[in-house]
Amino acid sequence: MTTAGVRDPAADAGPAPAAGAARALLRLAWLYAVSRRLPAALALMLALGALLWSALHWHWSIAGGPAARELITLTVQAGAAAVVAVSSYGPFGEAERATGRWLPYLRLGTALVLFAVAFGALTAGAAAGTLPGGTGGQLRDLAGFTGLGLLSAAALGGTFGWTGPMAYLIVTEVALTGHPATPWVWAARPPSDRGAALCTAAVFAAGLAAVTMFGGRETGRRSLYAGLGFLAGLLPVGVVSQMAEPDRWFAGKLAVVTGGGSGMGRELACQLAAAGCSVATCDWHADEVAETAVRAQANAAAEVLVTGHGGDVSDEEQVLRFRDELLAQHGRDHVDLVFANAGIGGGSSFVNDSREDWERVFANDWWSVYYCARAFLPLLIASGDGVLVNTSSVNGLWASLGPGMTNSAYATAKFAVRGFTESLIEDLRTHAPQVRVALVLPGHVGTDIVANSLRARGLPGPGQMTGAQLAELLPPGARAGLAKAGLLPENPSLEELRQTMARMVNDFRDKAPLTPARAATIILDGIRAGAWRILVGRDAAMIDAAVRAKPDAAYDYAELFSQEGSA
Amino acid sequence: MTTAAAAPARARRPRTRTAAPVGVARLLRIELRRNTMPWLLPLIAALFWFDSYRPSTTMPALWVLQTFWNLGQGHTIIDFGPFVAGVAAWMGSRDGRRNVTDLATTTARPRWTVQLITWAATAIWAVGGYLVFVGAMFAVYAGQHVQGQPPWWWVVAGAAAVAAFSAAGFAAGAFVPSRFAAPLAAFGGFLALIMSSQTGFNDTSGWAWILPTNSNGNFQPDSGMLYPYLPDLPLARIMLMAGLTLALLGLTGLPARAGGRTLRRAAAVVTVAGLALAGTAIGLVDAAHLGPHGVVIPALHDAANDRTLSYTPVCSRAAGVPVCVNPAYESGLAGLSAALTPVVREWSGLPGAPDRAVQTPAVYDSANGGSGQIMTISGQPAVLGIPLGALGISGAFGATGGQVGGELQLLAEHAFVGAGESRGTRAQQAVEAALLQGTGLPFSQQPALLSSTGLPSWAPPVPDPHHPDGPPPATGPVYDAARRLAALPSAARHAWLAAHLAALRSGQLTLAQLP
Repeated sequence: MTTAGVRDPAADAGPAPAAGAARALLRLAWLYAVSRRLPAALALMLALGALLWSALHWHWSIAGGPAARELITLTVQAGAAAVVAVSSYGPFGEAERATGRWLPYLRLGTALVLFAVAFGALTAGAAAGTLPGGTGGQLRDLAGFTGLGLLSAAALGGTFGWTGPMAYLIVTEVALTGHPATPWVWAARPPSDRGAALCTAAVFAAGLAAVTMFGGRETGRRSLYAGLGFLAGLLPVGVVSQMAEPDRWFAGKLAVVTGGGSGMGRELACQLAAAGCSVATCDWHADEVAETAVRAQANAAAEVLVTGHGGDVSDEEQVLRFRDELLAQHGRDHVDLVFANAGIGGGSSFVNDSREDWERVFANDWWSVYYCARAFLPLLIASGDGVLVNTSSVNGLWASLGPGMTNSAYATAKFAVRGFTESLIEDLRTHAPQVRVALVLPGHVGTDIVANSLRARGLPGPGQMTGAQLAELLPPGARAGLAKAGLLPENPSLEELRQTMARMVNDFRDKAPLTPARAATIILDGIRAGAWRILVGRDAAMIDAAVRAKPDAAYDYAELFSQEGSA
Repeated sequence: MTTAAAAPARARRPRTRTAAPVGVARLLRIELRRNTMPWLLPLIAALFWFDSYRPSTTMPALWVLQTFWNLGQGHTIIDFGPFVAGVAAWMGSRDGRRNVTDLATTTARPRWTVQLITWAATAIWAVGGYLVFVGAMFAVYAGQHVQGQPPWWWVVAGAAAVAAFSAAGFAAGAFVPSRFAAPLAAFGGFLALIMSSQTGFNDTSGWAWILPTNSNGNFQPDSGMLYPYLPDLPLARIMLMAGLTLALLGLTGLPARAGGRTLRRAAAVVTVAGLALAGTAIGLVDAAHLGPHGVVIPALHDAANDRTLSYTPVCSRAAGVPVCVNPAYESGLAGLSAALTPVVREWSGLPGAPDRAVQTPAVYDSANGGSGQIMTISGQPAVLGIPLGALGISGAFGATGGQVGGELQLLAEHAFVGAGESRGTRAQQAVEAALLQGTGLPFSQQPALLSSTGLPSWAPPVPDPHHPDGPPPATGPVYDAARRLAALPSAARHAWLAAHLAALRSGQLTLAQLP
């Protein structure tokens, strides 16, 4: 039926005027769309995405880290790109062949439509928090994969359009697992990398050109195109990446990062080092900060020095010792950037928690920032172009975590950090204009802050906790809430409580809407752009907007987050 | 059309014994010539170079390290598996896509036979490509005089995996003949391999060892140098892959149009046999355990493989005492001697000080990190036993000479104070720390080094009740005592050690008794 319907206008209408041609094109596009190709492609993309995502997410939500989460997204993107390539570029039946000279453009149109659908699905996934990454990163990676798929289709034949994304996915997997392949891999690079964006654009454009130029041919000199296609697809990635001007903003500078043993601190250290910036990072877990230093150094240029220092930044004496150590080791008399990032959670209730707990959290989250400012401000002034970056929190905007979830010490400290940092803006502008200050307000980022906070309280891992420790961490009110949510039985055993605690610790890290790597990228982008206020994550932006829009309803949760009238 | 028309005539012709094999060979030759797999081999070659070969070049020149990433962690299988599955699905779906299934069914040869020949051609290209690429890589290694022995069993296990992926893809294509069969089979193969790797990271024992890209226990630190690669696990994986291959190919012979009743019965038998073989392999692996030389599967284990390999050691006297290692480690001998020099100098004249050092086999337990790598001092005269282990030498996995040297010094001092596999008494810990300071390893660096060696640490990252905010490194009573001891004049410290070493090693000395 379709074949006959398509063939008629081409065979009988003869040369058509412009309006007729447009009508014919629309009709052919419609026939193309209602043939089995597009529905099949869409269904396959959906099925493939759901299958890969659910399997990988289910599995890696237990065991995976940021690299695994990146790979989930890349696998879905590569699969979608393969479907786009295979669907838009042969082999074709009579229906498509009958479109004659319009066939290349129909293929191009199909590729663009399917690309748009895939991009929409991916951004929806990112918005819902099921996939990591922002819109820019999704667009770049999907475009790159699709371009490779179309090039592969042009080179090897339409059905082999999957080979390009598949090959690239494997290469990317190597890079994500830490092997020295990064110059080639755009997908493993920060979204702000212009070289990677340029490569992607080039590959995508080449893919679209290939599908249009070779779109009218069923067979061709594939033996010739086979090698050339992959060279055309893969070589520009490496060559342009290598040629692209590296990010020079941070190059040659010396940054101080506190809390560098894990999470955002570790990622900040690694990304700064990769951008050519020497880093001195400290953490009270000496072995973990040493590992950070090794990781950061591994991806850094030869002239970059990364040092790890053990120390507790809530103790001024140790901050001063850290300062002296790093100046000696780096052979500098100034520092250019200070990221006061260290922090822990806890001290939830002013009423119920011990004074010792409350004050420990406050000291770690507030005094550490204050002592770092005291210790490093003269060195930032000496830099002539210093930046002090203080990490507050979304709880520096809103002193709650929701109904029944207190956060007293943490929120108090984070409000203090925010107030202090904002007060420094005018102070520095007036008395030390060579230094600027930035306030970081992260939402939920997949860090180890929960596990670190337990360690800071002297508690063992969840698997070794005693009943008394668990009773303190999960009081009756919290247990009732968990039971209501189906996360805990009514009368849980000790082992069930331990498992629940372990799950809470792991879920905070693994099921966060934002990875530490992305958070670090957002922070560094903000610093580079000169922002003084950096919201990290959609949840942070949402809460910021809601609290500003309805200050009187800030702690009336139903009202605060009701859609009506919210910003 | 020609085939169909000619078939009845050929069927009536009296057959000779050689007619069938010759016909199959001819058909195989045709399928080999028209197969799609060769088109993908250049791409796989590029991927193989990038993913399998290139990362290995950053490793020291030992077979166990050069092949750790590509064969030990299964990346060669990841490079081949998805593509082979995709192409095999393309070949398997060929008749279905062209709507000639009915036509092919009416030819002289049963459809299943023809399908098997098509699969065989695909598998020959795939496995052949795999063997050629691995062979070329091995030739490069051999040209670079890489030390030790190649892991031949793992090469065979990889080839079996490639064949299994081709069978899986072919079966998928045969049952779902669509243009999307190839990409779906490829992405399904990739997903299976990644899940296999990830499950392998979590499950370090039992059935999970059978997974084709599970790297746990595959290679041990001295495999191919001090002891052979154990073939137990690769044998089990070969059994699994062969079983899956048989079962999947047998499945394609079950549909009614695959052939006559006898042939379909044969296909059913092949399917059942394949499943039985795969199930047996999984069952065997479930009883496996990690031995000192690798994964031991009792039913497959040959005790002859437990032997250590004989070798003539190479020695150096640069440290002040003879230090002897396996010739494969000769390039690291200078670094080892340099690390031991200050240690031996410190020990000089003390009771029980070793008068030579020899390499002993190292064992790596992936479930417990690097623990078990302790040095020993034994015999009369005393000999220091050093488990070097390829996985922990300078240059392996980014380890620097300084890090490795520090770890060697720490392990030597740990053995010298008699702490054995435990963290030792507090007095032993303090003396060990003071001796390390004497060798040039500052107190501040010792806690991190302790955790990296896998030894029980007395300055653990998990805080103790006395330091709820997390202990600053190298502080506390142990380090206070160590600092006191280290501050003594060298002669006084030496004299005190000479007088108290026996009591220290027997654990009778307390921290308060240190000077």
